Amino acid sequence: MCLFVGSLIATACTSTSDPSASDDPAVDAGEPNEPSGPQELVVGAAEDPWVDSSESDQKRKPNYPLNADVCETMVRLATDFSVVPMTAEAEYVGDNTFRYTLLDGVTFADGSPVTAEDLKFSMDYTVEEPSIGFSSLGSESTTVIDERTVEITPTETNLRLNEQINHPTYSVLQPGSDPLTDIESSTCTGPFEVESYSPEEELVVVRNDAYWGEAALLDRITFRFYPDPTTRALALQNGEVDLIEDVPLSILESIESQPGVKVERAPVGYTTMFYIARRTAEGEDRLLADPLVRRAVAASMDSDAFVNGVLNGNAEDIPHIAPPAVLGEFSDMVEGVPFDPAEAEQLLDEAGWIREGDGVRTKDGEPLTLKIIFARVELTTAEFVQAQLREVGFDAQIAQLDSGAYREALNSGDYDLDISQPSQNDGNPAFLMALRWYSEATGENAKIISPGPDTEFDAMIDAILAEEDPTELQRLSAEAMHELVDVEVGGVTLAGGYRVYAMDEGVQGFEAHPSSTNQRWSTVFLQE
Amino acid sequence: MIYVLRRFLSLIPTWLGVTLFAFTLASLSPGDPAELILNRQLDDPPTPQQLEQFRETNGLNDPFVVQYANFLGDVVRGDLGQSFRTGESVRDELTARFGPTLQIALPAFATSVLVAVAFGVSAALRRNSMTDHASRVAALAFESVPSFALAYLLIILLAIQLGLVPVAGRGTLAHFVLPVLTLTLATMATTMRLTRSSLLDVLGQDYIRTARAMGLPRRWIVLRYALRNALIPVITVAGLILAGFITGIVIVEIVFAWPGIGSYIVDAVFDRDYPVITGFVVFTGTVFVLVNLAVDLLYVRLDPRVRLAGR
Repeated sequence: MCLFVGSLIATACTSTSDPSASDDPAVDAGEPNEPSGPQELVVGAAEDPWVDSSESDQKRKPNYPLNADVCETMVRLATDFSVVPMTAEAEYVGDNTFRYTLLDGVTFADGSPVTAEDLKFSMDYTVEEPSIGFSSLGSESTTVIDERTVEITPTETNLRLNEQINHPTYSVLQPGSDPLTDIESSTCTGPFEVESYSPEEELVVVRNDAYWGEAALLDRITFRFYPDPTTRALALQNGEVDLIEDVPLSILESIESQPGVKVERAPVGYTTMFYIARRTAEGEDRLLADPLVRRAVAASMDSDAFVNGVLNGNAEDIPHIAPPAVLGEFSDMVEGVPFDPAEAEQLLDEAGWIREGDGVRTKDGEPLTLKIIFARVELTTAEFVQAQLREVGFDAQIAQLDSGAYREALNSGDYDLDISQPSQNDGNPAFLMALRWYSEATGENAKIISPGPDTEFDAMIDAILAEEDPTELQRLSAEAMHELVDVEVGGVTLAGGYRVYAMDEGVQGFEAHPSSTNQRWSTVFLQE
Repeated sequence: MIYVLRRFLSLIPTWLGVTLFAFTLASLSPGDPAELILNRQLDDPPTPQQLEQFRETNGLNDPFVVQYANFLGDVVRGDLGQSFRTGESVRDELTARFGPTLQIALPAFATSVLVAVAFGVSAALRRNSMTDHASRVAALAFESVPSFALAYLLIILLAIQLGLVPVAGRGTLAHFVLPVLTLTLATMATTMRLTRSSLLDVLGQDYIRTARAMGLPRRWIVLRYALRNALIPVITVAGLILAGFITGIVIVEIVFAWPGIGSYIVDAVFDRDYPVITGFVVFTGTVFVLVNLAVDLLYVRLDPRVRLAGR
């Protein structure tokens, strides 16, 4: 299918004229560019994320997960995952409380000034049913201090609030706004405002002329929904859209070869990895409760072959379970288990799994069988993991599940490896570790993959949740990730992935953000 | 009239069978509905008391027959339940997506049948000619190519190479061309071949020879006598094609970013949204039953023998 699609696009490229090729020497020479002609950008987005979504997801419109730069948060996520002011300055004032003071001149799209009461409304909106927050906020958490200042105290100790609250879920809304029921009349502070929304067709935003900051360069952005990635690519080829997001790697080469098209890659923003299940939901040990076997699994993974073979070099070979940038200068503390099939075999021998010839290892007559599950990851990834495991004597079975069956398997612990692609959309370096492996995590499947209560890892997460200093937070997080990846082998990363955008050469000023939900559009412009 | 009434009554057991099948399917599906729904509605896992109360309130503790009777009553009133995912009425969600699907299904059906019958008649009248061979080969080729591949090929040819139409989306008349053409080409082969063979069969019958011997014009014989009888099996197939178009043209909708019923059902299946799946099965069954009724009524119109047999 992928080969077919790729060759189709390649055929279409090579046999057509090049309507979008620029003769403008300024473009070719990379000279400073300026907007010229109509500033209306059409973006080929993936499927409409709000259709058929739950009420809680509907409440996040229009800021998540399709970010259209309509709403802004108090603090935002920079491309290096640091947290910087957006509409407010943040300060930890002790006793589990954060203070947010509005920047000068922040206004809503209708020109009215944003006040502390508005900030309180926005935080309370995330708490009201259906709640959409994940930062232990309650209806009493936000207190108005003065006209421009609020203080937020989570309902339980959570010093990671400031890294979490930059997630677009916590956008500043004008009182009365309710994206759940009416996206078009919801008012925010961003450089664009919603003009119209047609489910499964398009979202149109126009420049907010009353924007309090530096005005957007585009007059209008139309996000058209194309569920099929090949159709998105063909729409770009045909000039119906100026920019497409989430270009699949299977057709990337064909798209890059199109004349007049350029490709932008964001820094690493997600990983392709697998979680390792140690026990069932009932607490019974599974095969990978044995640390020797876990390490053998990790040592059998040739991530270099995955990155350069399966992904054609369109990823980074990293050992981290989250983008290394979130760990700052401490990212080198995480080393990963090196690819060493001989050591993997030796570890399995030590664990009592005996191999005769090239077959499947056995122990007490039982074969060394692993169940690999996945839902939205490409089949080739699962097949790669399966092949690597078979090399060292595992009988690895793969099962691609629908989302319902996948959820059931995760919650029951009926799997050994769960291949997934977690994204980093906030500034908390320990976000994924605390969500998935911490034994106190609210996630239903944490007890299945967690190293367990009273472990070194849990103590590290406890310390992270109570750390005030951002640099120390990164160091502690790197230490915990080292414990999880290098010592506990709680998960294995195959690659660090990045968002890939393809666009007409006339699209300028686009800076791909590692987190698509934090993508900024205000600096983008078109040059004829 | 009696025939029509008899046909209508005979369809009721079929429709009831569909509803029973749909309800049984939902009942046998894995997972406790109370848990499935409450897990989505509540922040914390539901307590045993909450589960029991939900089951009692929603009749989930009733015997199967009673539950089915309640379900049937709801269906007759047009209530297909609520989606697990969105909490919205399944009937409203199906209705909202039915319009866009009809927008391409009806033109595609009309085009497919008209073109296929025209080519089928032409092929039958010029049997073993170049026209006959060419139309058969072309139709078979279109039918053999998977619809997603046919869709991409048409996009490249008509949108990218010739620039005649847009690649995908909705909004203008031009947006209809590619999805309608894809569906037309993908389905016309069966109708065309059936028209051809059926017409050849009729043209070989005695009453046609008699008509020829009487000196009636060939066009008159074909249009007035032969085609009318030849179309009876074609109508059966056309009815099935129409029902298929209405109830799901998933691939075409996804490729052309057309927000119809097909993509909605795929999402529901992947998310195990049982009320939506059940509602869709009932909806699909109803459409097939109604289309079959329409086909039966057309038989009466086209073939007097059916009318007489019904007396």
